[in-house]
Amino acid sequence: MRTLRAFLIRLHGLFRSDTREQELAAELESHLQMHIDDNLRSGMTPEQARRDALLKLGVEQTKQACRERQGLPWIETLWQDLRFGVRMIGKNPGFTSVVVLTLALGIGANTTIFTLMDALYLKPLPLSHPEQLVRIYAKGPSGHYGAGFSYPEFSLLRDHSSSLAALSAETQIAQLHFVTDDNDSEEIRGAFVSANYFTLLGIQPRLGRSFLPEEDAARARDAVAVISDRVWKTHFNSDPAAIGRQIHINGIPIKVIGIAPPGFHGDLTGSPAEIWLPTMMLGAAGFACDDGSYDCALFDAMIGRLVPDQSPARAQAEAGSLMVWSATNWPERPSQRQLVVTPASASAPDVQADSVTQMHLLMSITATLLLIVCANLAGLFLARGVSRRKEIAVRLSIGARRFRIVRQLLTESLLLASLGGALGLAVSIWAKQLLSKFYATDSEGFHHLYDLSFDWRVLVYSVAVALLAGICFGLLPAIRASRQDLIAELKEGVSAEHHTGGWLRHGLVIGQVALSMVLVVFAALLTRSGIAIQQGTNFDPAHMLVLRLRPELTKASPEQVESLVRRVDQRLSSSPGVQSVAFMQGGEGLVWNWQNGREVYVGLPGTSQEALQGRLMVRKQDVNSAFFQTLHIPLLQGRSFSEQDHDGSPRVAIVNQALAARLWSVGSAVGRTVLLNQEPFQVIGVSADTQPPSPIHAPEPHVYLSYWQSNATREGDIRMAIRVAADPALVLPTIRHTIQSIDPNVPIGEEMSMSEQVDLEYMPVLLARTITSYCGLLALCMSAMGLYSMLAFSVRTRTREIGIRMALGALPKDVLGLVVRQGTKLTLAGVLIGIAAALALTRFVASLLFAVKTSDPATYSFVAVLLLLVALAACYLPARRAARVDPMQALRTE
Amino acid sequence: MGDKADIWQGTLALMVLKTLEAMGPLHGYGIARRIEQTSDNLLSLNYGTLYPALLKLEQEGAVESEWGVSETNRKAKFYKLTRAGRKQLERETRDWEQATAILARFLSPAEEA
Repeated sequence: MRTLRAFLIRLHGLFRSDTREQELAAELESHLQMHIDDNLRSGMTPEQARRDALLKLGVEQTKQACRERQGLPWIETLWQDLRFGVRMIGKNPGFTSVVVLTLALGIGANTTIFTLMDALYLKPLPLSHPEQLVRIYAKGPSGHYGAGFSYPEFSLLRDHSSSLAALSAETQIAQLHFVTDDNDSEEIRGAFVSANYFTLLGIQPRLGRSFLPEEDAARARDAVAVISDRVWKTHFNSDPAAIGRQIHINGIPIKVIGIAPPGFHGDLTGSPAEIWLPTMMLGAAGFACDDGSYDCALFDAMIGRLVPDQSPARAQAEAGSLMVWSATNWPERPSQRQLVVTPASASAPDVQADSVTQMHLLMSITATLLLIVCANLAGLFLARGVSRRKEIAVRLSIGARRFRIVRQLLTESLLLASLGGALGLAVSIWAKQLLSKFYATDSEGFHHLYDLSFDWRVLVYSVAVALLAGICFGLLPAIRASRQDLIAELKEGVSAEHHTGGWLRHGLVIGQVALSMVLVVFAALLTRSGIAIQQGTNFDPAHMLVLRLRPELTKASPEQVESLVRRVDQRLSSSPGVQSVAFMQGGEGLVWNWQNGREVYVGLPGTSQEALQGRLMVRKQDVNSAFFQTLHIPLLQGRSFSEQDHDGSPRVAIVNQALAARLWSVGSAVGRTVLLNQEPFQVIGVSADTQPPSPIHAPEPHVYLSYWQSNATREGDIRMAIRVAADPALVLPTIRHTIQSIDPNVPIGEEMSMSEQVDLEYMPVLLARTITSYCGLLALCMSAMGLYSMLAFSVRTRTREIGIRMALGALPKDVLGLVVRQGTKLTLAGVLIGIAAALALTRFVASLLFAVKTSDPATYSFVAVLLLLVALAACYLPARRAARVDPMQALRTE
Repeated sequence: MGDKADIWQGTLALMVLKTLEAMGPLHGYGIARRIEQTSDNLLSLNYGTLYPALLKLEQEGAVESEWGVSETNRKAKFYKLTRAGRKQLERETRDWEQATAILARFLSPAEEA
């Protein structure tokens, strides 16, 4: 208490110092007078009396001791340092703006990536007590987390787990065909959830109610739904009468019972759900085996609320032991599956691991940029410390302690760092907009929703980064500047070269060049990959439109599907502006993609049954005859499909080059027979691989069948790829209109240009390319600046030496060479170290590289030459200044 | 300094408080002289250390100050013990007595042994 009271008074004492000072002076004066009076009374002469009194009191020391006691000295010195810092910053606006801007770019880049991290992983979901929520996945033997749960498994865990207070099953469906009774339709993402889902998450509908327990008790009985706030606004104009209205989901009538509160998009960060239905409606909506058996893994995942002070690990152990029964009850899917309980804010660990790796890469890249920035600024501050050495020497000689000097210089750099940090935040707002497009949609055209707004984490992070940077670039120069030989310093004519910390400044320049080399090499490799991807490998994505027809969602019969496909194909092919139309049976992945299609087993005639054990599994696509021609996929041998390859004609297949090479190492593949799921097909052609060559993945084998011949037809889910003459975005509405004039109710999804789809599919590569290129470019500028300022400074401090050389007969070109040699030597050292570092580090970007080797000699030499050219440019100005030194002038000045 | 003893660390405040208790309101110079007299001039008091000590006591609320006129008709700042100061004095006196008693027992010749 007493100490606190004293502290507050002293804090207050910081401000009223004038009156206090006077009062103290008066008090000490009266003390002296009384003492002198006493001394006189005891018989001293007036001079003696005064001298004795002054000796015993020591007025100035007492005043200082009281002053220190009155205020808080450390705050006062901090305040002094800050004021001094602000004055120094203001005195040199050019220097200040360079430093602040450089820092802003470095800190801004880091803050931007952290904002992404924050939105993706750190921000808690807007649910009640999100820390208690866990998600439960079934990990299959292949290592992915989508093995799913059956209804009996869910109810077992729900009823018997003691570490979970509540448990809800959930299946997200990316595409639901949503139609209002006004025939207003949209493809939306929805989730089938247990009745307790909303109560478990602590979400109150803004209107209406959530599900009753009995609404998720009997199969296909209760057709009710809760819709999102956005759907309510878009399709019902925020009309409260929407409650009780009928909508159709995938053709089945459903009653709206509730509107979710604004901002609630389900429990998965990034993939917003817009409608929620009871799990018992899964079968009715056309999804899977809704028979309630153990075989039917209906649910993607479960979400549970932990009993307070239970951990996910405990819940996982308990759930694991509960699930042991499945080995006996369920021999087909025995204990190979493993239960994994994670905090609910995380996506499936395998997905998470991929994107975390990506984020780590991006963070390392921006951190490298910041390191370059710090090295650059450290160089600048070292130089400035030298040019301020007289000022510092004077302060040291009148009694300033070294610590005080270091602290004052450090305050200055921290002040600059804070300014840089503040501006960096502004930079990152701009950069965030630039990057948000990478996270707006997935390659199937579904909206993602990440909250990229700043929160306290971002602020804390940027402040921390700014302070760290301030210490990084400020501390060493401050310590060096304060370490001076006073006597030598105050004497005139001592060469500055002694104090420049030559090796340190050279080291900083070499480091900058080396790190820049790494960044620019990565940027160049990623840019080349990006170009290869966007150009398409053996297909041409330009002037292409893609879309997906899903007549099966509205319960179309196979005959209806067939007639729809034929009519759409004919009408579109004859539309003006359309050059040709490719279509194919849906499947996973993308139109041109080797990952598309269903898996088939591939064999050769005469292979024994045993040999089929280690059999080859590839994906097949059922495509129309115009497919290869439309996508511009070259056929290396044989012919394409034709209209004659239909039901009843001899079965034919086209294999890609990778499969042909795998099956027949010698001779032509055309005319050979291949077994697909044990059935014979004749190979009529070999197509080029459309997979971009990668340093780690060999091209995947792939097989194409004729759409009208394959037995998989007439199911619906038709992917179309249309080559058009004009800008795809402009043609899209016409195409949509044409399809709707054939069938107004057919759900149409994933409509976008193929280039856009390619970009979305390779988002990680393009995002890394964009960020690395920006950072690489900045790094290049920084190293040029670093080299320039180092040389300029060195020329300034060596003016005298240069003058002597010239006086002794050196020509301007010799002096020019001297400076350029110095710059080039440092750059060369940096480039060599950079090449070694880049070679060692490329494995971290290898998974993002396509159509270029990680050690591509052309890229490395290009970047090395680029850096040397930039360095030469940076050398030019200082070198010219050196060459123009007037020997007489130089010898006189220093 | 010679044969005069220095003030032990932390005891100056106690002496100031005791002086104020005994003498009533008093100015800095008076306090200093009184301390010297009480110690029979055995203590060497640096007057300069007195004022920061007074300031500290004032900040802690043990004393309060007021301008007044000295017996010699000089304007002077008078310090006065507050209630908190009295309590602090009692407590510190007790602590000090205890400490000296313990120390005395250590230093006195061992009687029992």
